[in-house]
Amino acid sequence: MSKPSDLVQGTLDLLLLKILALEPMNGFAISLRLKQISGDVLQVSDGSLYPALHKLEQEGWITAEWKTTENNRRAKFYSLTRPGRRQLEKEADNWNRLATAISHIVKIQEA
Amino acid sequence: MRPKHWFYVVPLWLRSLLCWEKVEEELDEELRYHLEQKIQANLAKGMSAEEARHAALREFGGVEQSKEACRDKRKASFLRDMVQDIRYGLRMLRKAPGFASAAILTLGLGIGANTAIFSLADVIIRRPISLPQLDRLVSVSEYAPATEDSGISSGNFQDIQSECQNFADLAAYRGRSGVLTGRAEPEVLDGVAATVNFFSAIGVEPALGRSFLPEEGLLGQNHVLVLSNALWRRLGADASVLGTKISLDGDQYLVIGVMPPKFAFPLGKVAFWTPLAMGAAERASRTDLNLHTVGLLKPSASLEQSRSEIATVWDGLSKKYPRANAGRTMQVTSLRDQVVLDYNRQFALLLLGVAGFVLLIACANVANLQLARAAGRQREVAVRTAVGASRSRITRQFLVESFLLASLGGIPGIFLSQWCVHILRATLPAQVEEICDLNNLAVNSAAILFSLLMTLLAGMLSGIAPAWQQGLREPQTALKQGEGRVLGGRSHRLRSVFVVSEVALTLALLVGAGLMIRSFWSLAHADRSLDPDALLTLHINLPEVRYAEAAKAKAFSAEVLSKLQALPGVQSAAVVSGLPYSYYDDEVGVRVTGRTEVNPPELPTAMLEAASPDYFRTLRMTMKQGRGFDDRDDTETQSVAIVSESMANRFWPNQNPLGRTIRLEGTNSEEITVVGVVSDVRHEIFDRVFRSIMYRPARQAPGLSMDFVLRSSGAPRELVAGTRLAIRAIDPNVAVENAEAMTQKIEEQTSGLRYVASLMAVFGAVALVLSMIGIYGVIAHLVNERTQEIGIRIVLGAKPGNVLGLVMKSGLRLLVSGVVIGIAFSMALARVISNLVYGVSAWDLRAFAGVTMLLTGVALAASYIPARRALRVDPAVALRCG
Repeated sequence: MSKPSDLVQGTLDLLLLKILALEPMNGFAISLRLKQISGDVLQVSDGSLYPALHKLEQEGWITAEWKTTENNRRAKFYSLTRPGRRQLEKEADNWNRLATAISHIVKIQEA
Repeated sequence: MRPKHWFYVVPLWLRSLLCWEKVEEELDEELRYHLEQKIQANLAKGMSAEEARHAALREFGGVEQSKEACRDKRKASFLRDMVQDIRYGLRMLRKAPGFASAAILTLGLGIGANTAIFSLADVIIRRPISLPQLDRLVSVSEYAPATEDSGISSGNFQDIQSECQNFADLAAYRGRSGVLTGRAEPEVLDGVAATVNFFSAIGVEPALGRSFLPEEGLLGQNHVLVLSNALWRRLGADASVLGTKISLDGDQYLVIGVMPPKFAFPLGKVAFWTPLAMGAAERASRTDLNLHTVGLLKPSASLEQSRSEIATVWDGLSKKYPRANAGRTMQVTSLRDQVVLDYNRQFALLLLGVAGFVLLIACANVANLQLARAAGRQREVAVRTAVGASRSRITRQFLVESFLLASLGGIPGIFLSQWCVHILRATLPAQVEEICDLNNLAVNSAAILFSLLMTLLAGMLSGIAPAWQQGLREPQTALKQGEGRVLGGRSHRLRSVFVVSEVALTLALLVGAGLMIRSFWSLAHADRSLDPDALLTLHINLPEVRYAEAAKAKAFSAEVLSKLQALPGVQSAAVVSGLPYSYYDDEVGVRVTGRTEVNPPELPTAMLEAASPDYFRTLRMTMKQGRGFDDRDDTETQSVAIVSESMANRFWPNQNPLGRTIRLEGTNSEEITVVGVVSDVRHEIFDRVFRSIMYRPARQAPGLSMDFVLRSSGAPRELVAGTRLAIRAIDPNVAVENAEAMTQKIEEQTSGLRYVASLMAVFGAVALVLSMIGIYGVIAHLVNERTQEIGIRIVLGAKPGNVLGLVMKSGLRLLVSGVVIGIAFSMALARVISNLVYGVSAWDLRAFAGVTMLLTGVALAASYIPARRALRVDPAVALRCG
């Protein structure tokens, strides 16, 4: 049942920005975190995670840096930029407004 | 995007553009790290090495696709692809040098020629004069609709000058001439007499010396002059000429300045400028429209504001002087519009259009070449498609190649156009300088921009069809089938469309050129009866100071005539006020005795010519009625006139004009009796009807300006030296102008038309060659393609004639379609041309038929050469090759 998650997947950008707002991370760690946060509700394949990250990078919202991991491997770490933080706020606002509106509608129908 | 974004984004663009390999490596490494981590995690879950790897890959879902998606996110990838396409395109062009050089040459010539013609049109239409503030310069003139007179009178000019607020400066001027003496030969120079503020109004000051002082505009103080740079150079190019005196018209003029080298205003060969000084009567005149104006608008004023102001002021002047200013209007035009006549504009646009046709034909040819070449590139395209190139990428590749061809042709084309402009400058007839300042003729930034646009257009036009067609192809069929046979009907149709349009455009061009040549020819050779080849003409303008008395002028002309008649080789000699083709235009109102009186504007007019007795004989005109002049027609005898046939028909339709009497308006009103009717003669080259001309005996109506004409038994030029000598013996200070054969006069006046005609002929010839190459290519390709079929036909017993007919028929079909469409095109073009030039009808069957025959003949030859190859097909070889 992937239907309910389509809507949420449209907000992949928002999720990635939010995750990176907490701390800089590499792609593998981000994929683990995504699964950990949302369980199986969000189905983001690893193959589509990277294009999404690259898109955010090209927009200038996140920036990448090569660093060594704890187990001494080189990995590409992404972190939020200033414009990225502003974008996150904007998208979060949008999301909240949308979510409130939808939950209102849903409640009206219940009553 | 806000600037902060750029801080992060721009380095990424540059990196992906400049260090593509590095970026790719990093992408590899990033994904590899991910997969390795995943495999590690899977191993930790207890999977085998193989299982762990498969699971990781499966979960990732297509590493290459993911990479491609990442690449697509890069903003610079479009540019990157473009660079790749260009590199690839260049490689492909290098592999086909014959095709590439043919296409580049064709497009380069087309673009170069277009740019050169654009430069010419630009000068004629947009920058005919070079004055620094041209956009703010205007001209004010009075216009009398009844007589089509325009100009401005001194009285009205002064009122406008003082009343209008919108002008920063307003100057008046008029043409004058001056006889320069004191050098080897007296020489007539064209000059300008202008108000003292002339130079400040147009915003150009002399390069040496000064311009006019206010007091130099007064009679008696006006004998100063500013030299043109060309005249200054002829006088020795010495700065010390300033302050010296020059003898002009017998008066001494102080040289006060020299204009800069490229200054030309008003247009034409102006050699000097003097201050305009007028007597009281002329100053006050409101009816003599003998001045032109040039005014500089204030920066705050627009042309519209100035128009409404002039309308108001003119309204006031008409009320104040109702009699003098009746029947006229006053108008303001920008100086540019005043110079650029509609006629010039249309000719320039015609040439530009014709050059455009040639470029279109060139593009069609290149498109055709590309389509032909595409047949050999089936495999290459199929392979590229199979390994993942999208259709749009293939289409783009072909477009890029066309743009490459166009730019490779277009950029040298700009240099070529520079060369063409040199040729234009060297060959343009001198008369062009009367309509534009050729100093401005150069490949300037506008022309370069134009050529870049043309390059883009050429790339587009020649590439869009081949590219579109490539994109449509299915790769599987291409891979399966052999080369060269895949081209389906679509490609043939496309190629045929191109050839048909080439033929059509060429036909139109050739018809246009044909009409131009016919017009020029009919103008230049219309006067065979005049036998102009044997006529020598010369013009003399007697100086007013010494020849104020009519008797003196009469004596002078009689003496010159008798000396000229005595020269060896002269059959007859005559004098007249103004010969045909000499821009003489002296019309007078004629009152026929006994007719109801009409007022001057509606009074019928005729051209007044004072002619010596031998004039008609010399010009081979014939007496239709009555008698000619003889030496007894003099001041003491009856005043007589001979009228031209057209005048007789207009003034006395169906009546006998002999013995009728007339009076001339504005003279002392003596009664003149018509004693003869003489055959018509065309007066100006572009006259569509014969003018009414009234001849008076030279002795009864002497003037200071006279044209002598000699009929020689040999070449007229050989008489020039003798006549000059004879005239010098009578008065050494009289300048002899325009000593030339009559033929030369006619040639000069038709030189513009001849030039346009020959340019069109050149373009037509280029178009013809190009479209013949097109036809040749298509037929040759057809023969190649049908070799197998032809082989089979021959095996089955087809005769050479059948085979030839088969191939020629396809060529003929293209030709006929092209000709039919082309005739429709030509009729449109012919209408444009017939409105522009003399003696051409839009339905000139001879031109149409001639051009069609020429085109058909050449086209048949062009298709016969490749068709003959079909005859040599060896069936055994042809069948084996399939």
